[in-house]
Amino acid sequence: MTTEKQTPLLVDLHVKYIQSLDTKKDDLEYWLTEHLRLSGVYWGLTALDLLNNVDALKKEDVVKYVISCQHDNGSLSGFGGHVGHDPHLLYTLYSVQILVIEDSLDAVNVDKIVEYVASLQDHATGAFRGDEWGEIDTRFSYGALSCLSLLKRLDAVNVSKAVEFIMLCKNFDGGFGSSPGAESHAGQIFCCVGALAIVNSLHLVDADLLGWWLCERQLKNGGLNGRPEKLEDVCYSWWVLSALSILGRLHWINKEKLIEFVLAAQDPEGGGIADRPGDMVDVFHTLFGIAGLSLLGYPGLKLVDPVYCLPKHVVQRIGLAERYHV
Amino acid sequence: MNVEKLYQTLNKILDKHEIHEIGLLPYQSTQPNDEYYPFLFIESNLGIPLEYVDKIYKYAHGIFMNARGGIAETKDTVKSLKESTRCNHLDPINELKFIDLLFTLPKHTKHSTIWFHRKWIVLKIHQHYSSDDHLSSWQHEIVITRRVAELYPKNYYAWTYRHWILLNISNNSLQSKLFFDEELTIMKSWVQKNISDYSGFQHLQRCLIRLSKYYDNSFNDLDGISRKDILEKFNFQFQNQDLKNDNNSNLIVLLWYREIQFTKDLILRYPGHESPWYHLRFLSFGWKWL
Amino acid sequence: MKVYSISIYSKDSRNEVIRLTAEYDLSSFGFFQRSTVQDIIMVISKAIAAGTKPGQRQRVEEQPYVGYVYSRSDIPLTGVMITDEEYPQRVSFSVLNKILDEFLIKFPHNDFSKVGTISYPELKTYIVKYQDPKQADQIVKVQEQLDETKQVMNRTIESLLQRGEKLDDLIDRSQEISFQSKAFYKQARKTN
Ligand SMILES: CC(C)=CCC/C(C)=C/CC/C(C)=C/CC/C(C)=C/COP(=O)(O)OP(=O)(O)O
Repeated sequence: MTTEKQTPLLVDLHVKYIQSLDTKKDDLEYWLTEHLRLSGVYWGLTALDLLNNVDALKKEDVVKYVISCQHDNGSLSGFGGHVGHDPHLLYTLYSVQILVIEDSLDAVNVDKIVEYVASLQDHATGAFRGDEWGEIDTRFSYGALSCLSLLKRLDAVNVSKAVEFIMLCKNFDGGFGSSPGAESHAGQIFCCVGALAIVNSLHLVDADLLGWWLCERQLKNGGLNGRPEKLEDVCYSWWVLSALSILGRLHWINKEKLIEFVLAAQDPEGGGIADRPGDMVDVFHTLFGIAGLSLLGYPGLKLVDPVYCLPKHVVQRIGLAERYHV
Repeated sequence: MNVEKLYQTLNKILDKHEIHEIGLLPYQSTQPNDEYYPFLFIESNLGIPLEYVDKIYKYAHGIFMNARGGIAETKDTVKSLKESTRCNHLDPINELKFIDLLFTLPKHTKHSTIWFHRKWIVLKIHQHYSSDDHLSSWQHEIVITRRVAELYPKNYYAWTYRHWILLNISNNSLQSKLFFDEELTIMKSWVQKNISDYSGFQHLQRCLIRLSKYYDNSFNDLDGISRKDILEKFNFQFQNQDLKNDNNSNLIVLLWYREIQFTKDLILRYPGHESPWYHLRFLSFGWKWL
Repeated sequence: MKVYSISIYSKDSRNEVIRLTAEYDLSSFGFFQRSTVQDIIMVISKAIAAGTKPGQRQRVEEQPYVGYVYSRSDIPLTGVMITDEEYPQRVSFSVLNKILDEFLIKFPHNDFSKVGTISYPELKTYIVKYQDPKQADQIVKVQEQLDETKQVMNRTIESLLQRGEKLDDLIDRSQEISFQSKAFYKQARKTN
């Protein structure tokens, strides 16, 4: 086999790419993704921190923007995806994550956030709604538990009910879907395994069975897909790997080949990482590519926490690291 | 071209015609004197030139915001639609048609929110009709998910929505048994034609479980519980009833046995695909406890 | 599992590839995409036929399409089938074999130069029938007994084109493809 010389991780270019994101206001894409603006900040900021460049975005600006997305309306005091957008659990999670990274939780009213998140739990099933309209998904179970855990307020919800619902979404293959009976999907598996880790319930996971399914996600070209016979995608370097890492089975995949795949998806001119080599880059895949590389021990990157998807030093600072175990 | 004019023309088309499909056109192919210029309208299909999508979107966004200005400051379209439906500003049946259309554009079928909105409307409509009419409405929903799955294979939310349809059909009438039977037949032919579509196989699994439940209400879901749980549950059953004399249990066994034969044939016929193997994994997992 | 097209080619007096007949089934594509897809498939198929030597069988992958091509060694007659990635290779080659055999019986070789006069309506029924590969069980068995040893070469479309040309270039300069189709193709490439 000939080993072509591999492009290394283009740290400086990625930093520049993330910094440039807010200046593209003329694109249609910018318009259509307006409601994703806050998530963009979370993805970008976390990536920058892992790249040892958290200061590339000005802290005051970031915190000010996040605060401007919060609603001030009783039990609806969550965060929207952008100024003026309706509150949603996921944007509330991203806001809390951003504020934790910036060590600025004291800039917001934590009690209100807790109240908002708690209001989204369905008492009968233990599931969480994404917002007041009631869509149910295990993504929201993760969102709620992660958010409350970061705020040290898990007591505000019924944790054992929440676990019960997550376990209803478990499938025969050991994986988890978005709702009871839905197909196992690596993204949903991250959410469920992560949520169970947060509430010390990993013993409910069939680690060997699920680990096996997860490592079957690796394809010949080294990349990972999110379910059988689908395309590989850089973001699964996060969803699959984080779950394997939480289950202590990261060594079940071929690390070298995966690193090669992620690095090949970089844009060597403009920076950023795409879903797969040759495609257009975006900040979502940039974060999950970098976070995946961090789990794989790529040199020069800060360590990432597989449960909270935050830099490990941040999770350690608030005293939450390594509480979970299989 | 004047945006307002564009918007009006578009509305004229939507008012006058049933539309089956929307497509975005990267080129301009109508003449300025055509009735619907610059839109292309052929056989119930509406083509919108890409260069105008941007403009129309921003314009419609503006109108929308003004219209609901007083209500709240939200900018989320789906939710506003829902609010309008709730206040009876919109007719739920038209609403469904509108979503049928949105689903012909790839980006939208991948949004869980639109599928959730659809559930919400369907349930709303059902409130106004007797439950006898529901079955035909569910049939329409099956057709929609099928079209979406054809245009955008392995669409996670379309299949999850289709599982949800099964859940809504009651367990106790012969009609629903026929519905499940038919769905199983459709799915068998679907997976034969889409051998790499594990989402399709997974829905087939839902059908098997649903039918098994029809025969025997205590049939377990196989999901959401640990293997140990299943073992305990089934041990309990074996002790408590004589399966051999139970006709319905034999039907269940037959159902699963046939499925295993069917899957083995697929594996031999179409080598190199993961999906039928995963399906066999599921079947052998269930089979052990039959 | 889909067969998008079956087409048959020969060579004219100047040794250029000529299309004798072609059938398409593009119902799985969106309404406005169909003519573009047809144009692209037409050009790919012809390029594949041109890049295949007498006696060769090749499988050419160009996501999301797969092309199967079989060129007879006795006379300049080549069949090309474009399918999706799921359609089985074994069946494709058997179908091509069968169709070329039948075609030859129906049209003696010297007819090929008068391209316009060839009418082969059976092709339409075949593209419908073989959407279900099981329909080919019988012929597959016969073929397997006949020649198990024939090698199938795996190629990419680029390796079949001349002088390092890219598929995009080919489509760009093709005169058979409409302006609209070219625009559509470029658009699809960009947003993928
Ligand atoms: C803080 C972090 C890291 C996450 C917050 C929690 C969230 C939003 C997790 C998202 C998990 C995820 C990716 C779920 C998958 C959703 C899904 C079913 C996607 C299907 O999309 P396709 O486009 O069909 O993708 P594939 O083809 O790869 O399956």
